[in-house]
Amino acid sequence: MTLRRFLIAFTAVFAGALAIETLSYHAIATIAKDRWAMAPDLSGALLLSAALLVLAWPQRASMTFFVVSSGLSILVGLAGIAFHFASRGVPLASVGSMTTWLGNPPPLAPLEFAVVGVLGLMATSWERGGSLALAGIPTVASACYGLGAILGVVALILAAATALAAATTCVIAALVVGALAYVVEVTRSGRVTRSNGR
Amino acid sequence: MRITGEARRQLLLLTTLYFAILFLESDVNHVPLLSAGWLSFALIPVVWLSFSLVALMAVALWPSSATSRLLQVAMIGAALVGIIGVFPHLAANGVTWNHPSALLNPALLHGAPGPQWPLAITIGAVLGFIGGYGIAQDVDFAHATVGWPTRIAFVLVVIGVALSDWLATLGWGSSVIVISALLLLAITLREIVAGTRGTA
Repeated sequence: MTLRRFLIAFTAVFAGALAIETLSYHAIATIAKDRWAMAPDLSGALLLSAALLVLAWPQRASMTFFVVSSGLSILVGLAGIAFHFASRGVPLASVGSMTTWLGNPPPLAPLEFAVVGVLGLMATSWERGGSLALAGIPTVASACYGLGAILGVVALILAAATALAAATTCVIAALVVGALAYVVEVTRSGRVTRSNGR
Repeated sequence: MRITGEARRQLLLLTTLYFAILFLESDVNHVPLLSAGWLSFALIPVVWLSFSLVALMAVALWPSSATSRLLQVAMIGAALVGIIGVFPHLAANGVTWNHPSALLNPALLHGAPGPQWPLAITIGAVLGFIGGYGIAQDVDFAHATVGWPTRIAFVLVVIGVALSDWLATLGWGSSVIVISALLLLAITLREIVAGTRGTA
């Protein structure tokens, strides 16, 4: 297990949690009124899928996809603050008023997407974060990561089609499969490395 | 799994940013409850997030075994606050021993008292714990200087937290926290792009 792989797995969990959060909050009624409300649903599922794909298949192409997804998440986070603030219908002059910040939609919560995007970029940019492609990762773990990535893409498609409940189910399934893969990686790859050492 | 210098600083900055977000969301939703008589429980996350922010900034400014221990205590406490906080949030959604079926209500995750909000604190605590682990042995981190943009962001966090503790100045405090969060985001991104030590 390396810090880099741990943080990418953590990014997947974080992005999945945010995807569930926004799929719950940004209900169909909200999306019908404003199609941009769909952006975080898609961004969360995309980053979840990209992170699991990198863990399954650590190549330059998947890494590029992950970096782009992280960048998009940062943009969604920054734009989300502006959208949430604007949707309250309060003028900038009233920033000192409590009502400007109280209640829904939460004003700074979209920045969590930027945080998870930055976390993803960090995990890829560190020189001393450890190797991404590790020897001894069991095939079943890689297969589970791959399945999780596919489920993430399915969630993305379902969210785009505003089938929000089905998309949420797919995100949860991707998280469960991804978590299972990580547990297998941590427990089994250690044994493989030790037995190789002998 | 080891974390050193540059990576540690980036992770701690990101955790500070994340806790600033959580503080604002917790504060603006909990402080009005305090005035409505929910004094004891609603105060816990606000106070602990403030303490965690102070610990995160202290370890960045004065890395030592003492500040490292302070951060570990803050992060372990934050993880517990997050996990325990799920229960009052569930209760606020009508989940009780007599009505456990409310757990299956699809609307459970909707709105400010959703049980997932406190868990966000636990997620942040994991990042902070990793960032703070073994600081005393990290020579690169100990010798790195904290630049003035980071110091300004930290001062803004302190001002924002102080103002947010009072209902009368909650609006201004929130505004300052938002500015500090955006500044921390910019600094963290700059650190990642630059990839050099002691520049932020």
